[in-house]
Amino acid sequence: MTDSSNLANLLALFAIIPLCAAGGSLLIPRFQLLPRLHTHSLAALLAGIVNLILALWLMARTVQGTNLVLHVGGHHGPFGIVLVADVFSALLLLLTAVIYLGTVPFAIDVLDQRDRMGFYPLSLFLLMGVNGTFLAGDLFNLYVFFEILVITSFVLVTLGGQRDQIRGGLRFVVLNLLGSMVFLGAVAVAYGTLGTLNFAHIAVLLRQPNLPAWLVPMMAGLLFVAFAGKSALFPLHFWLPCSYHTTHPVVNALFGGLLTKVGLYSLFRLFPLLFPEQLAAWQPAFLALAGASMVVGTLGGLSGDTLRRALSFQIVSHIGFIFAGLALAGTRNGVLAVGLAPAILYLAHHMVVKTAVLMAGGAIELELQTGRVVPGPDGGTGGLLAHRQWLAIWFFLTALSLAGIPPFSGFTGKLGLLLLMISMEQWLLLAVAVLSSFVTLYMIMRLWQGAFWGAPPPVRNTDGPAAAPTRLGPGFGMLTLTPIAVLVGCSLLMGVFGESAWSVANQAAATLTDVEAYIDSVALAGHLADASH
Amino acid sequence: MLLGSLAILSLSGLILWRTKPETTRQAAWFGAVVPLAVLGWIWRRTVMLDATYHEHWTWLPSFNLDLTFRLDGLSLLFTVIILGIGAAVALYTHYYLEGDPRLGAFYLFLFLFMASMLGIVWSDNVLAFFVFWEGTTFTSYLLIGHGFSATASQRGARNALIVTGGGGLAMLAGFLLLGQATGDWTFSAWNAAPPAGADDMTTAALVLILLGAFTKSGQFPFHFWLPGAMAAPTPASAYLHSATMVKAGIFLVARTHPAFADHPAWLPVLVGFGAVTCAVSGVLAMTKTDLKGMLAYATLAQLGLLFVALGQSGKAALVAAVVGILAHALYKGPLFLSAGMIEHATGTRDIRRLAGQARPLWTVFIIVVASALSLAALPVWGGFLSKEYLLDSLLHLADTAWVAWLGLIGVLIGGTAFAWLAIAFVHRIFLRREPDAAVDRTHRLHPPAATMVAGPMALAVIGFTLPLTLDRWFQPLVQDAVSAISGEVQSVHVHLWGGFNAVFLLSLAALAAGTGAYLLGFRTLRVLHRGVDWVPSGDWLLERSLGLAARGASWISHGLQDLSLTSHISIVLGAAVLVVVLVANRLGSLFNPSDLRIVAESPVALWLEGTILLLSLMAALTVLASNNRLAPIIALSVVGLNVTLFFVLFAAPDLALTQLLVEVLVFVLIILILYKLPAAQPPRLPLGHKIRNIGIACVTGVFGFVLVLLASGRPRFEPISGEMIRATWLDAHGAANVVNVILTDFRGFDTFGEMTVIAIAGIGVYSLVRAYRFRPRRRPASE
Repeated sequence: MTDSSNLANLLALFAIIPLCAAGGSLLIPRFQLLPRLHTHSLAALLAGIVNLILALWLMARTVQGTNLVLHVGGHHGPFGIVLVADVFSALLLLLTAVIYLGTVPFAIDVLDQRDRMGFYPLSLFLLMGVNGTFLAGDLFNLYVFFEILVITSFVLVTLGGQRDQIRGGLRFVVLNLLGSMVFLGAVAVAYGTLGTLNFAHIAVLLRQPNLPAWLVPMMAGLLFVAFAGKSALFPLHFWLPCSYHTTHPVVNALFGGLLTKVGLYSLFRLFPLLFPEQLAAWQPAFLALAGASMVVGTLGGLSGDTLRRALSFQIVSHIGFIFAGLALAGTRNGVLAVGLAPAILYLAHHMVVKTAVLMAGGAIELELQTGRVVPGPDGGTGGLLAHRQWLAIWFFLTALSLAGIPPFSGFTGKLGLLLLMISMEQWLLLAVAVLSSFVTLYMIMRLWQGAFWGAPPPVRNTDGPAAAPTRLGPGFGMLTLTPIAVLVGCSLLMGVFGESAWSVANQAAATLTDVEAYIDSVALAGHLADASH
Repeated sequence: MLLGSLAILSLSGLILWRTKPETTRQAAWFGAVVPLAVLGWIWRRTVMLDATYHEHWTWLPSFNLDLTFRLDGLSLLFTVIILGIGAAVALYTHYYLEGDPRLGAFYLFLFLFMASMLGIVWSDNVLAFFVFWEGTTFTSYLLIGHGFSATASQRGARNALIVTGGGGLAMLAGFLLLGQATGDWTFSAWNAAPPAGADDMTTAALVLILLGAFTKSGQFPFHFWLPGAMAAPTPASAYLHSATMVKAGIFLVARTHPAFADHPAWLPVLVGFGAVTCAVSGVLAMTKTDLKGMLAYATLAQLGLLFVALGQSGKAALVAAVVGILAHALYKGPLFLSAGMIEHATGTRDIRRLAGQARPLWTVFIIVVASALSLAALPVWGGFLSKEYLLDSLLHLADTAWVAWLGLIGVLIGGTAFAWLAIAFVHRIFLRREPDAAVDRTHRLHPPAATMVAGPMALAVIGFTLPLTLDRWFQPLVQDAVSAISGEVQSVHVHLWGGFNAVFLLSLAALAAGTGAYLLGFRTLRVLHRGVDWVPSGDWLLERSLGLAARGASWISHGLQDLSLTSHISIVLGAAVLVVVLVANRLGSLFNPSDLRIVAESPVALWLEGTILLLSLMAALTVLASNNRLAPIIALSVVGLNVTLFFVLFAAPDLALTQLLVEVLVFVLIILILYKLPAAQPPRLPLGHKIRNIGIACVTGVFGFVLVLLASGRPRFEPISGEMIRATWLDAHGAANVVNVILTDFRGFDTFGEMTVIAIAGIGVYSLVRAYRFRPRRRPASE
């Protein structure tokens, strides 16, 4: 069922609201409203709230099986640009909205004057880019939103202007632009041979007979390289571990939740739709990459010498888990929805929990003024448990979820993937997955222990002459703890009500694999629609 | 009811946590009454039933995970132990940790543990079993880490988590394999229809499940975590690491006994590992001087005995296991709690510094003596009964299986150690006059309060009277438990006395050996100690392997991560080039002339194009040859301008204009930047790097060429641009420029996005410049 009525126009708001809020805060001079609130943060907060309401509305509509399609500017696809929202898009938009709204109070709480410069408008641009990616129904439009993301995140990485930030940011932007170049190459090939850019139209045309034999593997391969790079899948992940931990904790939390997901989204959207047979044909290679990502991400997390570096590097291993689901779903008889569903569940879990754990990790770093909490030869224990009981509790719970311990969402997601691996008889991958879960458990508990156990830090000398500036920002309080608690609560609910989460994931997976419904819903103009039947 | 009990216990924990129990005495009684009340409730509701009690809650059917509870004899035995000892420990804790501000957290973890442990023994669904299993792992971790600033606590908690957490994951994998293979996800289904034979899948699952049981119950070579866990406060050690949690592995083996007992690996593995654990830990127990350390190793040895018993299938062995579980909980719990009271009263736990406490700590003395009778396996107390049945069963088995001899040796060494320990506890702490080492005189002796003694005393009395009550009160419990383990209804009567036979003589021999070793004194032990030091402990092994893992991980991840930017660029480009290489064998049609779009051109155009191409080539070579900064930039601009000329030739004035504008702007900007930079020469690259860079550039060039060739081939379908031109003419009222209409109308949304990109880039430049102008303050060292 498709809804392209006036209500579909609301889809544009997902891009327009962040843009207007960002533009507004750039135009209006910043002034203080309350002790912790000024015009910029207020704009971000309001935009985040409206965005969440919109996302909830969209979820409620699409979960009934209705796809919303907006033909931008009244031009019917494929001549104009279309924005398409189905359950999968709506789910990711909703998670994005939750994560974004969660990081804004954290930012209000801990950003200091210097770091605050430009954060709020830039984060809104980031939100716009992520939202647009999840709605794009057109290859070039997707590329445009990727561009917005790359440039915004580059600026966000370098926000503090530190030497290591610039160094990490350079690598970040160079490698990402290379990926964009490859993406653009794929767009060119698609337009040059098929004469169109619309997803649905490409899907229709790729089924026509007498296509050159190289076309599908070439497009699939180039797009895979581009999207795998965006997702930070091994061996295209290098941009992530060199930049994430150099950013401000707020930026790091936002990135950890949102950035790599656009790549995964694109893989999940386009491979079942356009290249289902390539998923099956390349399955061994894809599984190898997924396994390698698990290993490298886990080991990277283990070797990370600071809290946020370890937590950020570990993202790569989760990407491996999620991608493994996509790779396993490809069979000779088409893409199986039952394979995609656990991966989607894990994706949702990962977004929520990674943001929470990076926020908690950032709060710890701000409190201790160092991220070196891993017990080493030079000591380095935090002993924060005595002062920061609630932070300890929330970080512990996110750690449990991250390590896949019941009853949190990490458990159901991982359980689904492990069952999938067993039913596909991928023993090696199963062993890698279980072992990497084990190492993750050790790694995360070591971090928790390092931060919270050990001798309590000495009371800071605030009036002595040697007293260094004790904090980066004004410390953190409820504005930091509440969002973390809410995200942990989300993870717990997703685990305890795993059956409902599972049914949503299943529905999302079904829309991804139901190619006909997608093509129908986009409602290609005039004579082109006939070609689909 | 069962789920309700779990909720009540968890809620009680939360209440105790938030109400600051260290300030009020009522908390102790509340903590003791709740488990007893729950036990009473369950007892009233279930013992009336003849059949097993079932309870089913749908939770995650899509993951085969439901809360299916099943309360049979085995579960009931454990329920009684968990709640009964739990009540005693909860009462005791308040006095042991008096005034500790983290007492509330301790109670919370203790009650959450209690609920998880009950979940383990009630779960019929294997995945629910895993859920509760992990619950005990993490509550145990937190309880060990109670004194979180001490290094011993941190290490002990970490080791316990690594070993039991890893074992739990292995067990989960085993459950998943077997569940997927059989399609059943409950123990009762597995027991009813044992997985057929010894195929690879069942064997793999069995090994993984046993890995879970062995790690949790501290079997050799995973035994080292348990002594480390003694860093926990004594009540936690008594409860988790002796009476209940470490028996979860035993419970798992007992629970799956009907399903796996016929598997050829079952008997040798369980009896073999159990016997080795029993012997090794027994010897180690005799070399320790810390009271809790001695008890911890004795617990390990006892767990080994239980594995030896459960590896067999005869009724005698199962009776030995059930009586052993019951007796051990009843004597080891009080002994641990007594160790805590002795430490509380005297300020030390070192047996060398203790002597003559019989009079001042007479209540503790009574408890220890009553428990030591069972520990030493004196007839007719619980320890003796269990061992009697076990030896009997092993002697029968010895005719057919060689591993029974190993079991016998293990049991006898363990028995010797137990006897030694019992004598050492009674004599050295309480009866002898002078300690071996100097005593800390500063600690003022204060005998334990009556309420602190009440819990352990109650347990000790029940244990002491067990021979009288075993066949009267406990008979149904033992019988049902044995039936549940064996999978068929058994009629059990425990005989207190089996007569003077080989079994009794063996028991007597162990007792005599223990007494002899004690009389010989410490000199023999010092030899033992030296021998033990020789064996690398698991602790050391774990430490080394963790260090190695960390170094290996660092080597792998940093080794890859710290490569030069050039290498990372070539990996990304290489991936893209690889795609082209992979489809190269299908590119044949590309060179089919009908696929290429060949445009017939005038000779003049051809000449022009040739000239432009030549110019571009020369400019490109200039880039490679030049050694300063300015020349390559000028040369690159020449290449760009040549592209502009191509656009002019192909009648695309808009594009040509745009390209020209961009080229000029970029050129001017770069020159401006260079003007500001110090006029240093760029470093000369070594030849190898040059060759590598040339290689990367050439491969990328070929890649780009192929892409362009593919993109500009003959379109297979009518491109959408045709419709766009038509619409521009008809709908845009004769607008002549289709490019403009595309940019502003058809794809206006894209243009809008790209404009946003430009704006963001502007902000980025602005904020970078500002960040440099205002020198940043010190930031936390985030690497």
